[in-house]
Amino acid sequence: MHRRESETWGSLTEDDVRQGTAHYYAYCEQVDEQIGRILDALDAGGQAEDTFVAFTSDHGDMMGAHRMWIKSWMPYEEIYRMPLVIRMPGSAAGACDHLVQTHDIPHTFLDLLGLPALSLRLDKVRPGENEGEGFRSLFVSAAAGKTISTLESRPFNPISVGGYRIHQKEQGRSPRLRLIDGGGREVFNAFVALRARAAKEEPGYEDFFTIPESGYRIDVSMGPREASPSGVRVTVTGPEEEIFRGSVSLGEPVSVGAYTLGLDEVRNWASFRVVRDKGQLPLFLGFLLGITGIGLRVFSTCRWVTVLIEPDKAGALVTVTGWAEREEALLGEEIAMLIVELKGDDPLPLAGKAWQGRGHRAPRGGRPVKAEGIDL
Amino acid sequence: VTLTEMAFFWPALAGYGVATFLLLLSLASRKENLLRGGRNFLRAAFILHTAALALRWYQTGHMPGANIYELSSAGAWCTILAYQILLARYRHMSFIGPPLLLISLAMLLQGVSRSGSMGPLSEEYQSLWFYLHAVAAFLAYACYAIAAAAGILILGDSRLRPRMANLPGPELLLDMNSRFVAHGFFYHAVMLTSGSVWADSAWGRYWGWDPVETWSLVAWLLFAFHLHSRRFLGWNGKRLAWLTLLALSSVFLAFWGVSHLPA
Repeated sequence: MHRRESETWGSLTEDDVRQGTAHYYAYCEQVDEQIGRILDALDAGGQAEDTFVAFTSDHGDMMGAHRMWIKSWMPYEEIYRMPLVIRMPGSAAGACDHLVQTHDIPHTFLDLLGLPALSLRLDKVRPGENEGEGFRSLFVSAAAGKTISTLESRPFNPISVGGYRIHQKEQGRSPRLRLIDGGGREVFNAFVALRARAAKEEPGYEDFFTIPESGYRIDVSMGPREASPSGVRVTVTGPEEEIFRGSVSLGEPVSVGAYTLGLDEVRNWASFRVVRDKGQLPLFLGFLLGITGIGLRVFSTCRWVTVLIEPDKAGALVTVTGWAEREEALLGEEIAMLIVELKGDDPLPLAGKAWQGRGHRAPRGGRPVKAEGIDL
Repeated sequence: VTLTEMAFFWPALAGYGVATFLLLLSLASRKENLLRGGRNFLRAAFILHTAALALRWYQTGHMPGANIYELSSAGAWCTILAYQILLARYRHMSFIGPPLLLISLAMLLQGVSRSGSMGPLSEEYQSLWFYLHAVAAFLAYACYAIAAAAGILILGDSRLRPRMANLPGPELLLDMNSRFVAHGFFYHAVMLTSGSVWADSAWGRYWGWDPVETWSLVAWLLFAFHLHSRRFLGWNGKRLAWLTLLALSSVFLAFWGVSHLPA
C-alpha cells in the first residue's frame, strides 16, 4: 500500500507541490472565513452565549509527507491528528492532551446539554416503492452497533423499541445540484432537501434555495416518488427576471444565465422523531383525573324534590316542591313536566302554576303518602 | 358524495328548512297545528338525515368525520338529536328550535359546499382515539349550539316577548345556556385530551399549537370563563349570551374558518 501510494504521487513536480500547498492554504483561509461568518451570525443573532461551537474534521491531509497527498489509506499522524476546537460559553481557553475521537463528540455534547447518552441508532432506512408507503425497513441498532431490531415504519404508526418510540415525520426527495460559473468555478454543489407539497396540491416535492453572490433564486420540484427520478423541474429567477424554466436531467447540465446547472444524483430523505416519554402514564392519569373532576362538577348537582299527596274531597291535592343548588329554573321546568305527566294532559300547551316554592329548601322528612287508590 | 346519499341528504335539508319556517310561523301565530307540522317535518327530515349518514358510514366503512362535509353533517345530526331529546324533556323548547335549526342548516350548507370526497380513512385517522375524539366533538358542539340558541333568545328577549306568549322566562333561558355550556365544556375537555393522546400516538407530541388546536383551546377557555363569570363575577343575561356567541364563533373558527384564513 505504501509503495503504491508513493508511486501514485511520485510523479508530482516541485511546481505541482507548490501549487497543491498554495491550494491547501487557500482552502484553510476559505474555511476560516466561512466559520467566521457562522460565528458572526451567532453574535448578531444573540445566540453566541447559548451555543456550543465545535470545529473538527474526519481526517487530516498528507500534504506531501511520506510522498503522499490527500487522506490516503496509510495510518500516519498527518491523517489521524485533526483539529478539534470547541467554544463553550463561559469556559476559559485551554488545551487538552487526552486522546479524543470523533465519536466522542455527540456524547460530549449530550453530556454538556444534560441529556441522556445515545443508546440507539437508526440505520439503513429504505423507502417503500410507492408514494405514501413509508419506509420498508428501519434497522435500529444499539450504540455498540449490533442490530437489535428490524422494523417497518409507516407514517402515524410509531414503532417502539428499547424504551423509545420512533415516529416517522417527514420524507422527501433530495437531488444533488451543481452550479458552475463561466470560469469553471463551482459555486454550489449540494443535496437540496425537497419537501412533500401540502396534501391538497398536486402530489410531489419542492423547495428553493438562493445563491447569494449572484442573487439567483432556484426553485426545484419533482413529481411523486413512483415517477422516474431522471430529472427535476427547475426555475431560476435572477434579481430582476426569470432566467430559466425547464427540466434538468441526470448528467445533462443546462446553461442558466452565466452558469451551468447540473443534476448529479437523486436520493430520498426522511426525518424521524424519537421520543422517550417516561411521563406518559402520569399524564394519562392526570387527564383522567381532570376529566372525572369536570364530569362530576358538571353532571352532579344537588337537588331536592318532595312530592306531597294529600287526599281531599275531590280526590287528591298534589304539591311538588323542589330546591336546586344551581339552575333552579330548569328544575322548575322538569317539575312542571312531572305534574303534566301526573295529570295526564297533553304537555302543549301547559297550564302553569304547578311549580311551587321555587328557590326554597324543601321540607325534609315530609310524610310519605301512598298514591295507590287515590284518584288523580 | 354519491347520488343515493344525496337523494336522502337534500330532502333532509329541505325538510329542516320547512321545519324551521313552520316553527317560526307557529311561534309568531301561536297556532298548534303549525307547531305539530313543524315537529313532524323535523322528525321526517331527521330520519332522512340519519339514512344519509348511515349510507355514508356503510359506503366509506368508517364513522363520518374524515372531512368537513362529514363533520358538518354528523355535527348537525347530533345537534338536532339533542334538540329532539330536549323537546321530549322540557316544555317550550320549540323556541330553541328556529335559532338552533338555523345554526344546523348553516353547518350543513357549509359542509355540502366543500369537497366531500369519499374514501378510506387516511393512516393518521385509523385509531380508536379518532372515534372518541370525534364523538366528543360532536356532542360538545351540539351542546354549544343549544346554548347559543338560548343565547340568541336572551338577546332578542325584549323584541320577542311581546309577540310570543309562551317564550320561556329569562331565567330559564339563562339556565339552559349555562347548563349546555357546562355539558359542552365537559365533552370539549374529552375532545381536547383524547385529541392530545391521539396526536402523541400519531406524531410523538401531545400538542403542536397548530391553528385548529389553538382555536379549540381558545374556545374551551372562553367557555371556562363563561362558567365562572356567572357564579363568581355575577354576570347575567345578555353578557353571558354574547360571551356564548363569541366562544362559539371561536369554535367555528377552529373548524371552518382556519382553512379560509391566511396562514
